[in-house]
Amino acid sequence: MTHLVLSHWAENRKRYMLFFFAMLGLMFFGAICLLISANYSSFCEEGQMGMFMFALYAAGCIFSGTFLGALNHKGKAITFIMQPASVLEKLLCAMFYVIVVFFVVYVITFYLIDIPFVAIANNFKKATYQLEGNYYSEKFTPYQVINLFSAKDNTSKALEIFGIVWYAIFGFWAVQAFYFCGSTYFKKFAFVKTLLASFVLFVFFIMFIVLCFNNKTGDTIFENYFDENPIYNARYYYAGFLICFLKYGLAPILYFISYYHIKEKEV
Amino acid sequence: MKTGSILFIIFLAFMMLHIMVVASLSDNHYTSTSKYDAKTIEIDTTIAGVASLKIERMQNVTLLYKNVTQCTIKTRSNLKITNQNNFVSIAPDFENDIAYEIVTITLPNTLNNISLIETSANILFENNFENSSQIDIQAKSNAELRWLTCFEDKEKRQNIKTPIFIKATESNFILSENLTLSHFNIDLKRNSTFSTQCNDCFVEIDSLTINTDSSSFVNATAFVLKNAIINK
Repeated sequence: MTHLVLSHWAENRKRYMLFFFAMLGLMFFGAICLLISANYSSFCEEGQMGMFMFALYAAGCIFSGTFLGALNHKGKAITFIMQPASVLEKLLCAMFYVIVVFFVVYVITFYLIDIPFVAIANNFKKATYQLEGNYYSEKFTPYQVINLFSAKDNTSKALEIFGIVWYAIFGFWAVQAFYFCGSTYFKKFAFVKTLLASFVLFVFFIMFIVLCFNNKTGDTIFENYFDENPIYNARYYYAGFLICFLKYGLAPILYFISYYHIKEKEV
Repeated sequence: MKTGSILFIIFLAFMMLHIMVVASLSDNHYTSTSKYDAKTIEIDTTIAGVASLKIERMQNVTLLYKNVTQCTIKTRSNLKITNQNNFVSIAPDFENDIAYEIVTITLPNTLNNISLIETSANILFENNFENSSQIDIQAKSNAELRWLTCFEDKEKRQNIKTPIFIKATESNFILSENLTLSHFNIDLKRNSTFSTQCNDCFVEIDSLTINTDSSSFVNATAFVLKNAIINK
């Protein structure tokens, strides 16, 4: 397994380094555009969160959607298939890069861009405050660099935002798994086709939800689940199961399906 | 068809099935067609006997229940419940801007368990609670809870044997009618008061327990107490 991970790194090192620098450059460009077109207030905590999520979904989907690009080229596909490892090992190796390595590298890249730009935004903010400070009674409060791994304080709002961030990250892992699954299923132009398929499925599910909930005025089962004083009944536990499934079940199921897709390619 | 494709189709079907289940469970709440115009709402639950209802900006609504064993009601207006089977939990859900709206809650006598939670509005209780087994009330943020007798003849005394538990935070609880209460347990916190406001009525309580903090206040001049414990 270690050998497989290392050999994959040796083969694709250049591609990944290029991807990393492209991501860094695009994020830098995006941050500059935000600073110029909007103003420094884009770097408030909610703004940083928005940038983090947008770039995470965009870069993550491209990375996972093109990860098994080798399968789309006959020559490279044979090399991939001929590797002395089982399908499960290959899938685990791919999951290691797609889930773990990408996420770690992305978080590092994000902070490499975010920290200096928050400092620049604070300088702008301070300059504006010094110019207009006489009109305001409140103290100058600089923007803080967001901490993705713990709530800022124990207030309910901070914990709520922190909870939403982790729901979004779990959602990202599911979307990423979908793009990975697409790259194993489609033979040519896998990423474009997966993008199209995701759009079609998204529209289909929205329409299906609208159709199912048409003329329904009642609360959904999730209202009770998130209530401060929930009623512990069958609906409560069903809502719990669904939330648990959406958080932890979607991505593993899609990787499980991808396993069969890779296996079928080998055949 | 290949295994991977079959699995993916099963996965999509599974997701669609859950959306349909969630939608069907959500549909359980209302049988009324209009949220705002209905004067009477009928609730007939068939799944697990549980209903959850939110009523907004309606006046004098009567709820008729069938097959309901447990119910949560959020209301902004006058509410009268009839034919309730076993359990009701009422949570008036008021926004801060209309926190002083007065609500009259008339509950049927057949309830076993009544739980009124987290209200921040003025509430008038109108019930004799003859067959209820327990009443829990939690009031917070400027609530004013007043007890009214359900009898037209105001001289007649309301005799409540049901144990009543009240937790009040920043609220006032007022007994203003002739009452005989068996078990009365009150927790007062943060500037809450408990008082009687009647000139020619009195309240007789068999067993009274009041827990208060230093900011709360008890004024019980028209009491006939048999077993009173006041913890300050």
